[in-house]
Amino acid sequence: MCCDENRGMLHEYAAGKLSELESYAVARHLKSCDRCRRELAEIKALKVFLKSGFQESIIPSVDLKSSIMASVDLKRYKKSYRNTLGEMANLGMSLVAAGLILLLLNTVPKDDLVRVQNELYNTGENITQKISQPFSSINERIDKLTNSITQLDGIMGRIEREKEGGK
Amino acid sequence: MVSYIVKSKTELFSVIIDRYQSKVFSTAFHYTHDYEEARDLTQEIFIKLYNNLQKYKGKASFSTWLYRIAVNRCIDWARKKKPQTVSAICDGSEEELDIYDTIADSGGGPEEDLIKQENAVYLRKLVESLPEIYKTVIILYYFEDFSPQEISEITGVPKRTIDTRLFRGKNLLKLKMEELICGGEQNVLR
Repeated sequence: MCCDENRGMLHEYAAGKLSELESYAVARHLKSCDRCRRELAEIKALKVFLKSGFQESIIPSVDLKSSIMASVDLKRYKKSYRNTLGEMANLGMSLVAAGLILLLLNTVPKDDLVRVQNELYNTGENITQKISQPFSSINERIDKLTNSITQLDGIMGRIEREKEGGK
Repeated sequence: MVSYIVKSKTELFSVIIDRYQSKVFSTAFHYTHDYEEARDLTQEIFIKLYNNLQKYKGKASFSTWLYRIAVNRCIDWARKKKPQTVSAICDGSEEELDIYDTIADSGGGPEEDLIKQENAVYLRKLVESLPEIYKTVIILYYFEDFSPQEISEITGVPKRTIDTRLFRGKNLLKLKMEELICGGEQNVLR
């Protein structure tokens, strides 16, 4: 690692903000580079020296918070949020109205179409079983009855003819 | 937290003040070197923060965004204020030169500590006299313990530039100190 590349990392290194790998690389370079070692020593010394002026840390006065809170408009976001809620309510109403219109236009939902088709098919089957089949059976019986009536009619005709022949 | 405040829980803003007021005040103090001015600046910064909470989109961390507002306000304040020159800090009187003469003396006694504190006050004034681009990085790095990467995010300046400014700022500071103390013959940081 060259000095220029390293020098850019010295402040980060002194602040302990480099990754483990980067720290290792810088530490390794420092072992063999007087210039960077001197640079790092200066950074650390300046930090200690500048901070030495702060034996007591700078602390804001206790009333600063209350002073700030008194200066801000606490209703600022309440107003805007209430407006937003009003707008959302209007939007909601519009959506409900649109939904109702769609419902009216499509009384049968798409998903139910398959169910309706199945029911229609089943109903057809039922109609065949419960109505068509019995009717065909009735038709057959009517046919038999018709034949029987025809036969009976023939018998009756013959009997009448025999009676006339006997007179 | 920010979304809660914006969604009408404005009282929660006091939690943000609790969390950040010390560091914001400290930053403001390093620009102003005046307790009342720093207090006013801090108050202005938090009011501006509160009024702009809806603009926070979460692209940077909240603290970075807050310190960006704080640093920009401090820089504005420093620009409006008449710059204090090094000659105004040290007029070359015997008494002040005596103080600087002892900077390199790192004795551990209470008297030496007191002298060292006084020297540091002069040093802070030297920082104040630096050009703005160096002053900001020096304050944020040496006093507020931000890393170069964090300073880059706060100021919106590339990290490589921050590294360069830190390096040049330190050398400029060292040069000014050496000039003030003994005409550039002594390295005061050792």
